[in-house]
Amino acid sequence: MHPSPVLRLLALLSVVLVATPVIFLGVQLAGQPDGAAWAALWRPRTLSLTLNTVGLVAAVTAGTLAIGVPTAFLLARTDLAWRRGWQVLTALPLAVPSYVAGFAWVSLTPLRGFWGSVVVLVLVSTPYVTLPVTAALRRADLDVEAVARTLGCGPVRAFRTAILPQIAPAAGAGALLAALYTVSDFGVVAIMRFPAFTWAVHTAFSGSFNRALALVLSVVLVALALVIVLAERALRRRAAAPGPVRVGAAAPVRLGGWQVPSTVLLAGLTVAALGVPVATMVVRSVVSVAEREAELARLGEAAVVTVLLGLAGAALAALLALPIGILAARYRTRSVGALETATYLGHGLPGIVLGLSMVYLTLELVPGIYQTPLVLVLAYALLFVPKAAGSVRAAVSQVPVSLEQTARTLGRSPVGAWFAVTGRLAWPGVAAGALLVALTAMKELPATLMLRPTGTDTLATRLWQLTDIAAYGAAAPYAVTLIAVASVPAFLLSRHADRQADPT
Amino acid sequence: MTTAPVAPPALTPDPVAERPALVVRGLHARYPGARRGQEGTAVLHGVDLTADAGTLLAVLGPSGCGKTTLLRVVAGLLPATDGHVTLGDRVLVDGPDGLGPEHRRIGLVPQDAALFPHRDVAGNIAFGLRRRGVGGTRWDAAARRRRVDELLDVVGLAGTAHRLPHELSGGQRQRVALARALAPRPDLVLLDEPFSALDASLRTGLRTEVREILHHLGATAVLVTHDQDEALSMADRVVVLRDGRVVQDDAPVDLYERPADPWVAQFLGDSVTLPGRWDGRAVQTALGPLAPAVAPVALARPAVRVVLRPEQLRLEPAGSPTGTAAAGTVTRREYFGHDALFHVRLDEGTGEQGPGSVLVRTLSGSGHQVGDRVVVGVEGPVIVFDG
Repeated sequence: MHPSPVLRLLALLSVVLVATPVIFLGVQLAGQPDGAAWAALWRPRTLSLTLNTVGLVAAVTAGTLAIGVPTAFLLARTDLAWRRGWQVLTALPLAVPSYVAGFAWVSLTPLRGFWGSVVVLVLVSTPYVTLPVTAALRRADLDVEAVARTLGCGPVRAFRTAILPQIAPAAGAGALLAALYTVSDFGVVAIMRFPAFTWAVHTAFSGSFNRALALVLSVVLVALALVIVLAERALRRRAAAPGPVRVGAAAPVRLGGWQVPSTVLLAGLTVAALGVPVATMVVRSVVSVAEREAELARLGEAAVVTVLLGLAGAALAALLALPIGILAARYRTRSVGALETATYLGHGLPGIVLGLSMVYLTLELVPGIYQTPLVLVLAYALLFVPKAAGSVRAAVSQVPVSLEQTARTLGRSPVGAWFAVTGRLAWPGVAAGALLVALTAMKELPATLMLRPTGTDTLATRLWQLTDIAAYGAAAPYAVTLIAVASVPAFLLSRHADRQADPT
Repeated sequence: MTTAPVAPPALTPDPVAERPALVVRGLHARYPGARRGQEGTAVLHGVDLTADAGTLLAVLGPSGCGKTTLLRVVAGLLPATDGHVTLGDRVLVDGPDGLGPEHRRIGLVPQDAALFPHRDVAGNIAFGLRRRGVGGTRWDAAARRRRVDELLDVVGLAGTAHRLPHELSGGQRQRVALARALAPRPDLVLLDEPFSALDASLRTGLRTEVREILHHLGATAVLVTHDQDEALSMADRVVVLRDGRVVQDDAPVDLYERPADPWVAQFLGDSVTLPGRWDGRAVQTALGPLAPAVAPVALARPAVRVVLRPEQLRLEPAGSPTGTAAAGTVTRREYFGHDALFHVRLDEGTGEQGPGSVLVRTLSGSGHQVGDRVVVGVEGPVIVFDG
């Protein structure tokens, strides 16, 4: 059946809204005086920035694969002691904002520049590989491996020929997510003083107010990110459809003498990715509170503002994502495919580019709302509509169409059937997606820095200002609060996931 | 699960004065492309069928023949491209236009039951019983409760009203799905391979029971299935669908005994096809001269094809004196317990199962061994097609 025109119109409006900042950037770039854009593009500096970012992405991607795949194997296929615990600990670095981790490493060690950025980004983005590969290993068809063994393959060769091809798409897609994270990351490279694209865009915007340069760099950055998004999408399509999780289908690999080295390795990673930032921040916070260096009133205010802005942004993102997600889950027509692809490309929009575009956009069109909370909420929503649409789609497509159709034959109108059945069953998934967006929005740094209302702090922006002036003691309580606030949705989400996994 | 005793008082027919018949004429439909951007493929090419009031019509066909598409078009879940569907005096489909599924008064029992997972059994059955219910029936709370209890009795699930779907067995889920479809007193019930997900042992019992329930309620029903046994045993009339076209529309007995073409004959069950020659009185085959069930008046050429059912053939030890018979060797035995199927290679002649090979079904599987010499005889008239 064809999707209702109302739904299609709503979805189209959402997509147009999401695309507006990028379109605006293009229009602005075209409107630059003759030659300004070309001059900005053909500077040697642009090339060196590109090489820097590409090199960083390559190194981080390789690092996440090198750590993430073996970790996933340990978690999914071996008799490693305390596996459940490790599973949580290896996923948790996702809750640590990259700039907090970067700040911790900078304040503790002389690590800077390229390698400093690589180390911190690998540590925080390895879960992007570990999580999907663990899942893929769990649902891999182990019979193929068993058959390979009966046909004379040793355990290693059987794994390589039978299991590796099954997890390769998941690993590839995960590594590309880490690459996307790296391309868009602003906090770490700025803290490490590594001249990557995002930092250069920020400098061009805030330091030199060179509009042509900022625009050109933004467009190149978006292009880089788009390449990664398209590659990720192509790989994800090849990834195996989620099948039933096999529990205890194969005997776990006995680690034997490798038990201790494996545990030490995982412990080392956990200390580096979680222990260092959390311990550093907690110790510094205690010291700074004791020395009355901390600004507690301002901290409380910033925490409230952060939560409110994050929730508002997430709610708006979920609302905009609803029509797109429903269409994508239910209909496979060409026009729906185009809308979905357009939304998906939004994943590649770096926060710094969106921030920049929103600044120029509001100044140009509605200067009245510049630097009001409204713009920031709108920016969060536009930035995270793709994420929210993904979770709406997943939640809706889990409700079998036959339920909705049965409801129709029992006398419900299309809208009535949606509310009585599909919406009723899908809303927890939609809400979980919105919470995830709220969590991400609370940690967002570059767009928030550019768009925050004058005189208002969020946890991220105040933390940034304080680290920028090396006031590490005063900054630490912000980092701790940020991690704590961001952990609440993470906690709720893990409970939600538990209930989903409950085999009732 | 055992077959629950059906309470007689609950089985009074629904008080609807006149039950409408379903009439489908010249129905064309295309299925939407499976992948985005793909053009839909035409699936139905002018289907005609009629389900008389109070009867069960089976639509039988191999997978991909369009039977599920047909059912979805009748239910209003898929638009037709052309043709008409009427239910009594109500027009449901008129070319590409059609009534929404919520206005058709057609109950659907899907293949996977599709119970609403967030509602208990009573909640599922009551789903279609709303204040402004299907067809203008008004259901207040008391009427709704009475109707739910009544249907729980009908499907033999009294006492499970407050269970949730995941607490039910597969057979129970299908019963709830049937009760849910019947609750608003629809004019027509559609059953989409409702037993295919069940164990073989459960399937037979539930089939009989569903047939009884539908019959006693006087409901008009259309059953879609690829299972010949199901269609033949449950339906009053069977429509065979192939590549989106009706190839035969008959009562089960006529369908099995007088298939319209060799394909239908083979689709309906094990069969033996032999070449033969029509000499005006009998068909000469490797099994001797055989009498056709219907005199082949219209035969264009003397070369014909004869279709036999394995149960029409019998085995005798070699050397037995028989009229129409041919000698051969047992090459394989398929033992099913209640009967057995012997593969016999004839000494002379050719069949389509291999060089001169025929299938013989016997009630006892112990009579012969692989390698035995036997004589194959034929009982009763045979079906003859143009060669």
